[in-house]
Amino acid sequence: MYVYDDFDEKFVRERAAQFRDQVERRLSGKLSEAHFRPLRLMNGVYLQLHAYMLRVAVPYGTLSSSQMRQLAMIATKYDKGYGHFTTRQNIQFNWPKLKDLPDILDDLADVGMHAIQTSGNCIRNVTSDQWAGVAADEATDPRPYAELMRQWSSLHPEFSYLPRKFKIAITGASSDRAAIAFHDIGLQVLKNDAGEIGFDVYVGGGLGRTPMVGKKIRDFISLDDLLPYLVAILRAYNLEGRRDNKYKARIKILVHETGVDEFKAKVEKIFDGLEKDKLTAPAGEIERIQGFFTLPDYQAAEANPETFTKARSENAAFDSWVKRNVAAHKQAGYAIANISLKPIAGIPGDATDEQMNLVADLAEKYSFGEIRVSHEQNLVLAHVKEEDLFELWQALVPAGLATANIGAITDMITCPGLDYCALATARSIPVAQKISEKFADQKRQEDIGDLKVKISGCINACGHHHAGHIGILGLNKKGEEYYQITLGGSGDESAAVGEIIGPGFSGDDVAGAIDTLVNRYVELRDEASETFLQVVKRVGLEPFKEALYADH
Amino acid sequence: MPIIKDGALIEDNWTLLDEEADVPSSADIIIPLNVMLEKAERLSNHSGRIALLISNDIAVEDHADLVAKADMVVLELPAFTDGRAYSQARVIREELGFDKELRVKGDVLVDQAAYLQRCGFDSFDFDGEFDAETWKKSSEIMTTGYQRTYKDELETRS
Amino acid sequence: MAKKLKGDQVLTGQLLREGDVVFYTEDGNWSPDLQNAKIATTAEQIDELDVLIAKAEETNLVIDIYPIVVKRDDAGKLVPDLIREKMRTTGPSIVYA
Ligand code: SF4
Repeated sequence: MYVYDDFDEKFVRERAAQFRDQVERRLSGKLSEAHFRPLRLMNGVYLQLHAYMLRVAVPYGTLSSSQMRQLAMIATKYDKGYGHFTTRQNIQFNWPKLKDLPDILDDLADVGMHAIQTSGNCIRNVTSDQWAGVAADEATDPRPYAELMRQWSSLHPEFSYLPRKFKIAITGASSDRAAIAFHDIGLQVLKNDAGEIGFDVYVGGGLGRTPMVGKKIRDFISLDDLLPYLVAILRAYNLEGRRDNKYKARIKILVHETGVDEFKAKVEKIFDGLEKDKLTAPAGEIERIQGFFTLPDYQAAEANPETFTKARSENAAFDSWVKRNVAAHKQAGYAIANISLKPIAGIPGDATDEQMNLVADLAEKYSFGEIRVSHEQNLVLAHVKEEDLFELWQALVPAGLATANIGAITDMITCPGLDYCALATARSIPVAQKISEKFADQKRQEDIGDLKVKISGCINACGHHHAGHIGILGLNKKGEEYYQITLGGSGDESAAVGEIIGPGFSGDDVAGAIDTLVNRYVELRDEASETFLQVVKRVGLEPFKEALYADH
Repeated sequence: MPIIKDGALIEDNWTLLDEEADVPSSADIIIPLNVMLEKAERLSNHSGRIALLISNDIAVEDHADLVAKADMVVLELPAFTDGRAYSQARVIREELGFDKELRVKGDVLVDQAAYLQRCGFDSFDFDGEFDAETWKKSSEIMTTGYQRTYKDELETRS
Repeated sequence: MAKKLKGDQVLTGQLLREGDVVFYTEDGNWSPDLQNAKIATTAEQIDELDVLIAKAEETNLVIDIYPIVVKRDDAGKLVPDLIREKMRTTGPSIVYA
């Protein structure tokens, strides 16, 4: 993984010092709250319902063991002993004090981390495929380009006061695990027959109030032209994006109102006029970055070793975990082990300091000291030898980290909702907990198969409910929380926005409604392998509506 | 309103020309773009310097000829969160090749000065009090930057 | 305040340095306990809240100050009207950490 050189380190230390100075001026009263607010947001500091919240960047979801240990330390020392992994592959601390934040940033800088642009109307932390570099279906590792964009976008002088936030995601695989179609810019890395790298560019995707699927505006932009092309898109947006209405300020609205073709023409015109050599990375820089993303030193390992197959046949719980949580690896004899942060009835995405430390240790022991965070709020050990999987699993079980539910119905994306979030209209976590309890039975989960349930506590859609096979949106009607259900959304390469099925449900009734929907699906499917999403696409909403509302 | 250049307060002798004001023909004047477009003939005998004030909803490249003739260009920051002038500045510097004074006027925050400078501005006409010490400190904290920009004084990765 | 609220009101905000939720008290201080809050009931008192907010902001101790509507429950304790404010008074509704 990428390791800071002296330049990166100096930059991050200076940025921490700059924020310390801003906090001092705020506390002394020299800086007003109105002026401080955007400055603290650009450094990941929110004021939430009960406290400040700090969002720390985990660039494209990659962490080292020592970074994870430092996050655990911060959770212990400055917070209440836990953190929350988010859908943007970041981690949030829910209880830091403003007066401690400068020290926390210094502690982060000690391990090459920061909170730069994890919020605010600027280019946010670039996200990617959590299996980047190791997935069996990957054409090109996207991480070097994600890192290039991380550097390029950090404290960008031109693009720090955009109309609204701006999110970029990149993938190099055919299965899109980074939801690139739902980002302001989505990039698909490709390699042509000559072995050259290029990027398909999608623009104007997003969730929130007005969900839209991104449109492709460029095929195979070359590596040299990538940053200039991003400059052109961002400049068009910065100059023409709407600033009169916060809800219409994202680039998706600009693209929609301008029309894709005209927007593309504007971008191309700006792009043509740019002095490209000045805007691209200096010579040798890409190669330098790429040098960090070579594959680790895999040992020759046997595929499906006997110890592994034996453990599977003797231990049903382990076997379930392998089936659900372990994915195919590029390297024979190795596997991708996914660690679920969705224990039954737990808080999706939360990890305690002890769990973080344990994962850090296990990563060191079994996975070259590297950890990934997925946008589905789970952790990944990306290079585990198959013969080590059983030991790894045994170490995860007592820590509550071995739930065998990746991609299953209880692996819900859930935003913090009204338990923490100042913008929320309803709670998300208790709803997720009730659903999780309802589907706790492992056999039933396995029978249901892949089903993505996604929950947001308000229309901002941080819980990606639009992209859920089943989406749940928490709203407030006459002072009561209620929940709207959508069906048929999808966040991957078949990106689609879910459709509202009908009148909403109270917090107590949501889990029951989901139960009804799932039972209906089981009745409707042609064979066990037909997924929930496939059935919804085949039969439409009607049969599900009937099941839900027939006796009402 | 204070004008800051190179981190210090300076004497300003530019006068903003509004609609019908009478200014001596030898004065240094700032003229809004729309006035310039409509009343250019009034200025034919003007002997003082002429600066162009461009609001932030204007595509600056459409007025390349006026920019090229101006002795100074002034861009606006009506609210410190409105970042259009940053892009306008880069277009004026990097594409139109304007190399005289570029000024930003409005709700400038001290914490933005360095960003603005990197986009090509060299003077600030801002609402609010000027505190030289804070200005100096906050514009000097970052000595590094990842992007190469106009007249960049920051250390970049080479 | 753009919209005038109806009902008895108290002022709430968050401590600048710590972020903790607090309520404006009779003696002009801030308390973490809603039960200590100064209640504005008459139209005059409610009108005065804006003045109090402006004054409190000047001290630079508490931020994001705004009025909320409160009621008394059967036991006579003050409870906020809105679910959001209830949550702010009681903390997350889930067992965390
Ligand atoms: S979706 Fe709404 S409630 Fe949930 S985290 Fe986002 S803003 Fe908060």
